[in-house]
Amino acid sequence: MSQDARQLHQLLRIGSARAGNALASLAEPLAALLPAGSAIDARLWQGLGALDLWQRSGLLLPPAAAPLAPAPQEHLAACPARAEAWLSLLLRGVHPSNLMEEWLLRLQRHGARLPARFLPNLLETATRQPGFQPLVAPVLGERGRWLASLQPAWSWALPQPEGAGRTQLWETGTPEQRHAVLRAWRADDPAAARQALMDAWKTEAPEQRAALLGKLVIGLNLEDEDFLESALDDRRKEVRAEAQRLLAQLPGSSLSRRMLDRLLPLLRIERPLLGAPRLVLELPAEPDKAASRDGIGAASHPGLGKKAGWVVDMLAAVDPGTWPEQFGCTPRGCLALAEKSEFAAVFVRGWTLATMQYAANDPTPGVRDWIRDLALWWIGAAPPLRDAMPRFLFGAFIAAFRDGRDGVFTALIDALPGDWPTDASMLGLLQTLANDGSGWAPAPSMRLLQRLDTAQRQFSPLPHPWHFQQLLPGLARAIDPVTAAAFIEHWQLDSESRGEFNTFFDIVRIRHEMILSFQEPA
Amino acid sequence: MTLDANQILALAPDPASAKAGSQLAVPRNWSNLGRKDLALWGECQGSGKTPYRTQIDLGDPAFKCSCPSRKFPCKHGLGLYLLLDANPALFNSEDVPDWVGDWLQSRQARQEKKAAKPEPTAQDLETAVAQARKREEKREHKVDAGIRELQTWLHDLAREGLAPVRSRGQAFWDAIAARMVDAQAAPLARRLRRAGSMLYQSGLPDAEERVGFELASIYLLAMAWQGIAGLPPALQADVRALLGWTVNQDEVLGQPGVADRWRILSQTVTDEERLRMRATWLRGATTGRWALVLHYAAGTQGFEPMPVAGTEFDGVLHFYPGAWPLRALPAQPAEALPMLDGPGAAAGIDTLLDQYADALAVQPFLDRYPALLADLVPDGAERPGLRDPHGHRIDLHPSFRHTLHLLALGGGEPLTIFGEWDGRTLLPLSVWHEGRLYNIDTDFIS
Repeated sequence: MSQDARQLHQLLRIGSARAGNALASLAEPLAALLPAGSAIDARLWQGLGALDLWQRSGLLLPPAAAPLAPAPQEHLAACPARAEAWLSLLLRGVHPSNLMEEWLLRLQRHGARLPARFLPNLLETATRQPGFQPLVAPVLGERGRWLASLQPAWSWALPQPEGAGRTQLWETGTPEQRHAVLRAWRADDPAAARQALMDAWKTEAPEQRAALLGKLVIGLNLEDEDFLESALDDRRKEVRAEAQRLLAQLPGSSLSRRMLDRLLPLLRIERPLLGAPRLVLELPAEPDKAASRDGIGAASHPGLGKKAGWVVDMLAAVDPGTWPEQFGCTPRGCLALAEKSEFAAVFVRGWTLATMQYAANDPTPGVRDWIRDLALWWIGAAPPLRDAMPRFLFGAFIAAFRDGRDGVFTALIDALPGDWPTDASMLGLLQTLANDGSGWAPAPSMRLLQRLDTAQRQFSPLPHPWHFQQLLPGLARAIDPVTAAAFIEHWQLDSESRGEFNTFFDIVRIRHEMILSFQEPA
Repeated sequence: MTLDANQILALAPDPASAKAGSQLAVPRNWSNLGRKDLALWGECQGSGKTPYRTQIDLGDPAFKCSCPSRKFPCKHGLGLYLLLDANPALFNSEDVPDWVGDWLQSRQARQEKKAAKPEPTAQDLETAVAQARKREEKREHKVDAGIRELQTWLHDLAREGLAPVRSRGQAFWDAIAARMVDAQAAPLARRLRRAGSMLYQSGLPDAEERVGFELASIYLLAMAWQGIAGLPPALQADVRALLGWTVNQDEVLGQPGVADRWRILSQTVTDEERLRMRATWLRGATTGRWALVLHYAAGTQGFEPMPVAGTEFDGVLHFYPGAWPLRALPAQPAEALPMLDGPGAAAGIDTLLDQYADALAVQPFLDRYPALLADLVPDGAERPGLRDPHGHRIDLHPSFRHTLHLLALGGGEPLTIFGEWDGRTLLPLSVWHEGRLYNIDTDFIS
């Protein structure tokens, strides 16, 4: 019969006009069913139709492939039913965006796993947007990892192999796999990981070197210094820049010391009889070969002169904790000294960059002091000087103080001037604080709500309503939803501002409900 | 019972309404909320001065709202229902306001009026029958002519061959489809257009074979029309339905019904050109009978109320005439109950193949056949299929897009799957797993 089917399909493909009257009769019992004496074109269709029915009414199933090994038992709890319903709404895009991250974090904190039916959606999302991977991986559960092992594009979700498997993957894997291996290796055995990179260094493709070297930031320590120093002489600019960056944030590195040695002769404190003391800077000479090797002149600093930029490069490579010791004052005191200087912007920018570098790996108390003082100083600083401080410092601020433990975050909200709603840079600051991270602690959230309340009473209608329309949804996503939901229950809103606050209220309530959905028993 | 959030959102006429509805489902927007028996009401502050009065009869469910939206149900109705799902405690008033009472009464009155329609006189009937007869004859002539033209077209196609025709593009298929629309054989038009697009757009390796079989099946249908007088009456009804004749709903409801507890195994909404079609598969708990209920909706209109997949109801279904009756109409709306005992007995693939052969023997034009199969394990992702307990491989329909979801749900363990069997492949429509029915169209997100 399958012979017949093939013949008929072939005939239909080329057409009977070309094939001639070449239709052999069908096998019994179908042949007897077809009307005798019809033309070939009619017989072709009748034959195909009969064969179709013949095949469909007596299908022979082929043998299946070897079965898959089933997924292991789960160890995490199941996702609560209401939280699962929330995920379904989020995946359908019913709710405003940006809530997915929070949902995933809540699930992780709840010690639960993703519902099986949505695993393909989240694995796919996190494959397309790698930012989701650290959020999705911990809630995949055994089922999720099992599923990821069946789809090559989802291999990021698989646990990193250890021991011999790791060495093998490091030697033979794709670039992405090797990066992942080096990251994981570095986290649990920095010395062995560095050795592996050094062994492969000569044969490594030049374009891979910079990216692989960058992984040493994980567990960076003084034992890495020799290797990094040798990378300062690499032929590729990207590799040299990466090595400079790493050495600059390595506490106690000789690169830092060399930078400090270059800086100290250029600085002195002038204490006039009248007026406040100030920092005096003498601009440096053209960098020599050794200075260029250390990265002076490598970065561009818009708004600053060439020589001033070299000083920023030097300042950025020195532990910021050095200066309070050097000048015998707090970071805030250092900033006061700098403010009076002709080169205030140079100091602000250099110290901020250094603080950012040193904040990357678990900031020390000295670095946290700098983050705090820079942020508070910025609010009171003269507008032109504010521009010297890169705004991403506030990202580090959120990361360091969002838990609200030491009251620093609340103090920052307190420090906003009374007329903040009319000041575009203060609105911009809040926008940055909102965008850089949700999960504000209850205390600063409460303080922010109180300040919003005062503002909407004081300014009616609100100044810059369009600016508020953008700012409020971000704040609603960042602040503590439980505090906020309780606060807005009794909030008397001025009717003029109601429009701007509507979205704010919606998001607060949605987040609050979403969080409650996790509190029911699974 | 009331629906859960997902089921409520499934009632939305379009995604925009679903979104707007769920944004309205916060207590702040509502006042005067209340609930009594199956009536649910509330007032929603819109952009206007007076709030919109929104009410729901939870039984069907049926919606009414004083807003000017032409969507049905509107966002306020959806929002109110979603609010009930999220916050049932808010609906604490039991005093039915006048406007709610009026509506419920008028609904009841309308239903009673519908039940008591005046009997037409004998003369009215006679004229109506004569007119219908005349219209019918005219249509039969048109279909006759269309079918002859289609046959000639198919003969020419066989002579010329599919390969040379490929270069003519979709227009070649649209032209004959347009002729079938003129001949009042709309289903044939749809099938021909679909055959053309399968050839050009499906990218399937066996697209030509599939198109060959589909055209042959159309050819056999054309032959059946030409010899319709010699067919058994039930099969005549099938042939006429396949050519586009519709049966009056009252006529269907006039047939003796089948009373049972009907379990709803799947519900799928598809776009059919300008219409949306909702296909609901049901199975009787005691009779074991299968039924397919089709509803159509145009544009932003909502579907007629119907319980959702994963629920069941006690009621009567009336079947459309046919040699292997599957399509049916529910007699009246019934209250949905949760499906507690599962979807019913599942067959093995051998039983399914036997039943399917029996069905084809009496109704060879059957296009979709319901199949509830137990103990199927999805294969790995590279060649999707299902493995039955005897190690046979069941291929999945090429349009099935949720292979990975099935794999994820089962985790390599067997699943009970309901779907449509076409003689070669299975199109899964729902999965029964760990005491819950997953309706693939709504519970999986692609």
